[in-house]
Amino acid sequence: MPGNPKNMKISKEKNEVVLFINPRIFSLDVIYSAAYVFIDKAYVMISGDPEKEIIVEIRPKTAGDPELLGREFNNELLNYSVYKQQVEKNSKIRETIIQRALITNTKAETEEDYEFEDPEGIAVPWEEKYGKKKD
Amino acid sequence: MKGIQIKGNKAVIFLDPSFYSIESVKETIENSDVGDFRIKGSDERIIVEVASEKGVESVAGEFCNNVLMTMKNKSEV
Repeated sequence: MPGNPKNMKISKEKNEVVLFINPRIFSLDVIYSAAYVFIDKAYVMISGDPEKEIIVEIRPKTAGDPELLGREFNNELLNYSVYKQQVEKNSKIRETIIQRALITNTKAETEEDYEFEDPEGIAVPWEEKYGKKKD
Repeated sequence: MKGIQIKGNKAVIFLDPSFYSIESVKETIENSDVGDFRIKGSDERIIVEVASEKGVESVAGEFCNNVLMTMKNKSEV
C-alpha cells in the first residue's frame, strides 16, 4: 500500500512502530481494547498526554513487519470505536429488556399472583371440576 | 521503546501513571516469576527496575504487557 498513515512512525532498525493517537477521536478505553489484541504478538507501551496525544509503541515479539502491526492497530481502533458506539446505542434497549424480564418473573412467582384473561367466562377452577386433591 | 532503557542485564521501565495504575504494577511484580524487580515511584512516573540473566529486553516488554493485562482483569479499564 503506497504511503503510510500520518499517525504512524515506523523504525525498521528498531523493528518498531509508534502510533500517535488523537484522544478526541479515539477514547482511552478504545485504545486499551485495541492494545489487548496485540499483547500476544507484540510488546505494547502506552504513553503521552491523555488530553492531547496518546502515543502507542508496538514492537513485534518475533520477526514481524512493524508497519503491518501499526496498520492493524489502526483497524482495531476503528473496530472498537464502532463496538463502543453500538453498546452505548443499545444500552437503553438492553436495560428495558432486562427490566421487563425481571418484572415478568416477579409477577409469576406465586400461584395467587398469576392472572389470566377469561373474556368468555368459561374457565372453571381445577378443584371445582375434579374435586379437591387427596392427601 | 522509549519507555524502556537497557543497560547490560538490567532494564529501567518508565510508566506513565495516567495510563498505568501503581496497584496493577505492584500486583504484576508480585505475580512475576521471571526477573528481579524493584519499584520506585513519583507522581509523574512509575519507575520499575528489572534485572534478568536472560533476555532482559523481552522480560521488560512482557512486564509492560502484563501490567495492561492486570488492569484489564481488575476491570480498571
